[in-house]
Amino acid sequence: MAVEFEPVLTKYVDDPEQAKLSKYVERGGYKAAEKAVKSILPDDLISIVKESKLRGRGGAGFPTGVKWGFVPKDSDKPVYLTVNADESEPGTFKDRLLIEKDPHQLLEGTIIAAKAVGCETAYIYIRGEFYYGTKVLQKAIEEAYEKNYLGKNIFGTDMNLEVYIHRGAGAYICGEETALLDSLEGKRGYPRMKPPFPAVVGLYESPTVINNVETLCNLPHIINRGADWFASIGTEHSKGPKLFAVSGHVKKPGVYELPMSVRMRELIYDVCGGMLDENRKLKAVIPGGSSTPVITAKEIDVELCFDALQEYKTMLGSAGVMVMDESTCMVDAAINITRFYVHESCGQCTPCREGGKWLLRILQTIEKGTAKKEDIDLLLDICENIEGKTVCPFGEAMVWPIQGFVNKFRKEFEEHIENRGCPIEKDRSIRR
Amino acid sequence: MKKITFYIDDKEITTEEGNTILQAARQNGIDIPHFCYHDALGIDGNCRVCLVEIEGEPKLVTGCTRQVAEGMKVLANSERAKKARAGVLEFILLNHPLDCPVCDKSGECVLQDYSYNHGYAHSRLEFPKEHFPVKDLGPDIYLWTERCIKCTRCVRFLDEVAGTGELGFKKRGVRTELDIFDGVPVDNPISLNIVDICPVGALLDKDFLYKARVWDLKRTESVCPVCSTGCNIEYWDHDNILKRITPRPNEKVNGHWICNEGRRSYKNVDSEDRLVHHKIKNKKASLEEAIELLINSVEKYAHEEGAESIAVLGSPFLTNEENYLIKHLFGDEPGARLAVLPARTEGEDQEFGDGFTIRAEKAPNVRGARAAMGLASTKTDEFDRIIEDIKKNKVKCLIIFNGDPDLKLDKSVVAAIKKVDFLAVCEALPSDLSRSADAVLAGNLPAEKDGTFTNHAGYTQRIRRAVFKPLDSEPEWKILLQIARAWRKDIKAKSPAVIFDLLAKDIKFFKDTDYEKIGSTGVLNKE
Repeated sequence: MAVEFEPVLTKYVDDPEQAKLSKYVERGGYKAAEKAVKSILPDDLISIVKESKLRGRGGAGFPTGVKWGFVPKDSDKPVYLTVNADESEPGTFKDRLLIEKDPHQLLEGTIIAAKAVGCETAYIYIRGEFYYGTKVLQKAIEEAYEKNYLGKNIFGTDMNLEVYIHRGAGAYICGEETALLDSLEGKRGYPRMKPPFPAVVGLYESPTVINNVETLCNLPHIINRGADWFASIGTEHSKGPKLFAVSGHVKKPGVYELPMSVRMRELIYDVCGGMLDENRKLKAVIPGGSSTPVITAKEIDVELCFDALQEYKTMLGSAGVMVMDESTCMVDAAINITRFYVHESCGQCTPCREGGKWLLRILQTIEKGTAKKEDIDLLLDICENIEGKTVCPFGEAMVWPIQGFVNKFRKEFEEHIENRGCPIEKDRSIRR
Repeated sequence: MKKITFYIDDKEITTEEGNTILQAARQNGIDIPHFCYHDALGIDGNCRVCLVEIEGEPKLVTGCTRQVAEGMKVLANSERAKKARAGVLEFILLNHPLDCPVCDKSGECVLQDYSYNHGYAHSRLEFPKEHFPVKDLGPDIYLWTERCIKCTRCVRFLDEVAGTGELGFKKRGVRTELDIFDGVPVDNPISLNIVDICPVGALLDKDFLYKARVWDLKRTESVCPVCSTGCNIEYWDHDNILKRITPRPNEKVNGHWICNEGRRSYKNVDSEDRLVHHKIKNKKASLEEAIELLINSVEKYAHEEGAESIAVLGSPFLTNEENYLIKHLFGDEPGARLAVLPARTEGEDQEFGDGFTIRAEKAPNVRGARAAMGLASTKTDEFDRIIEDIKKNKVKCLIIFNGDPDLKLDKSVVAAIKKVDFLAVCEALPSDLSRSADAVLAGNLPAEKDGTFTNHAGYTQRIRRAVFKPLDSEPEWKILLQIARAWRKDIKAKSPAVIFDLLAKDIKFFKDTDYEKIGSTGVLNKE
């Protein structure tokens, strides 16, 4: 294997004992939390994380330390920390692994973040379908309370931290941070207008920091090994270890922890063992979860970091990599993804609510071969009318994959229309 | 308040800091299309039709949510903004049934107007639309679910103002539908305002449904005659028949709302019970005959028993001008005793989320009537004393100008009134009193006359005639002027405007108030 990297976050995920507090502590766990709680000032914690150049692992890649810095220092309201464990982007399954296999790592990260932002109440908003993960996490929380790592006067200091788990009810949009807050408040999950941003007006109109599971899991290691160590991994603007969830036509799909200097080609051929069926050629890869535009087989020398992917008009997103070989019809793939977003549109604002199903219908006629040539441009025009016109980034999540497929595989779309049907020889064995 | 200067399409605008682009545009007469924004409701930003470009910013922003900043250059009509607006309107019309020919809102529908001004002329959709059922939301309102554009104005009104929160959304995406929670209807005293603020024909008033096309209706600005709030309203009639009442915004009085009871107050105008003829001893008579009897009786009692034996009652349902004429004709000379009929009170004042109040005092002109009759606002027992003196046989001739369409007096009071030697009653709908009166004058309701009402807070506001009087009946001010002529009293007035001028000269409360300056929103009068 050409890519050598010693896992950090996922080092012990293969050991079932790791979920137990005793094992976690034996391996040096909660040392970082204790150090942070006892002897590091909140401002210093924020500085350390800023220096580490840790960027959010939820999808947008916003610098974590900067986000913490937005929390007003003089607020008379409580500060809340919300752990976004609503991992719902299709093709993404990295947080699930961290929750189920190493829950104390997440709790330790939560304690450190709570100390940094001055929070005494943290909520873990977990995807409802993660029933097993919830159970594991609940057990871990109970253990941590017993050891006084959570609760009143944690680690014998004057810091208090209560942690609650809240299970989602199956809506993708509740992974969007402000819809998540509405849901947590017991309301219908609708994204909120921004500004104000949650760091100022968030949960119960109080300052709120929302961090992704993987982001928080990095924190104990940054405290233990230093910001310099963290910043020494990866590319110029994409630091630290990163989890990639690989699925699709590869021999060894799964979650891989790598620096973001890894190239897509290395990930597919070296790490994941190459194409599932070696007689079929690689056709396209979705790099960062279903909402990110696709890249073609010619573009796979791209580094999987926040910046390089932008040159290919796509993004790292949640690093849910979906590999497709030549038996995959791009129109079909677009339909599959669009159907998901049409189903998950919350219905709050007009363009996304009304436009999605129209897009899906047009894609379906293209696949069936009943579309007109102008329909491809109509498709793009509808996408343009949705993109950037919605309350939250869901509008982009809906149209970016379609724009990606059309822009990179326009010829295939045109062939569908000219042939009056799908020209791709599909592999029926793996169809749903 | 700090002022901000910014630009919309090269027009320089100065507005208060904290205003949004849309608010500043509205204040300056610039129309940026909007559905979900409403002046009296919280900002939601969901319809996306007010998207505008800001010079130097990559993304379009919604004008309803973005606050103005010094020097900001808003491009409301750039090619990008126009395309985005047309695109959003296209999305809204995608699943809108376009059943305008049978929609009650047609003609006053914001979606029609914006589509006409900013939308595409043709549809690019070649697929079936989404379909939803029509729902019965409660005693007053239907929901045409398909027409709903999900702007949430109604939801916010019920949450923020009514405080009842009956409406919400079910399901999601394109299947999102407005609905009530199972078994809990939209039923509160101000619920029908959601019909007015609905920008499309989704929420409809059962009472007005299929009654008329709005472009056939004539509208008349007036004031609600139900309680002492004095809400500003519009009467809508078709060929002299009232079809509905809607609110007219007035920040000083009622904000944007009216109550359901006020909205239904037009019903008694077309009541079959209306008094349409004048009567003497329950027999039809001309107005001249009835007035002659009245004057003769008053003169007889003044001469034989003294002015103390005559009492004349005004009404908090009659205009200031009418009550003033009563004082002038009967109080000043021959010196009859005066009082105002008591206004009913029902329960307590009901205040809603934004301060809108339904008052317990169920009459529109309590304050004005007392002031116009020259009665003190504090000592208010003239009516009770007159009733006592009727019982003691001291008052023998009683003339009642009852404007109340639903007069409810205590049984003992009615029994006392029936004891007087001579009773004349002027009213529009027959009460217990007119059946035993010696003379009955057929009066009019507020929708049939001009004049002024003064509300609980002292705002004097114009009411205007929306429809013509039925048959022989006359507005009270006309009857009173005719009495003046028959009695050879020197009143040089032929209209409520001139009567008001006399009143403004005579009564301190209305001093220096100019009838023409009362305008649409009223003037404040003080003690």
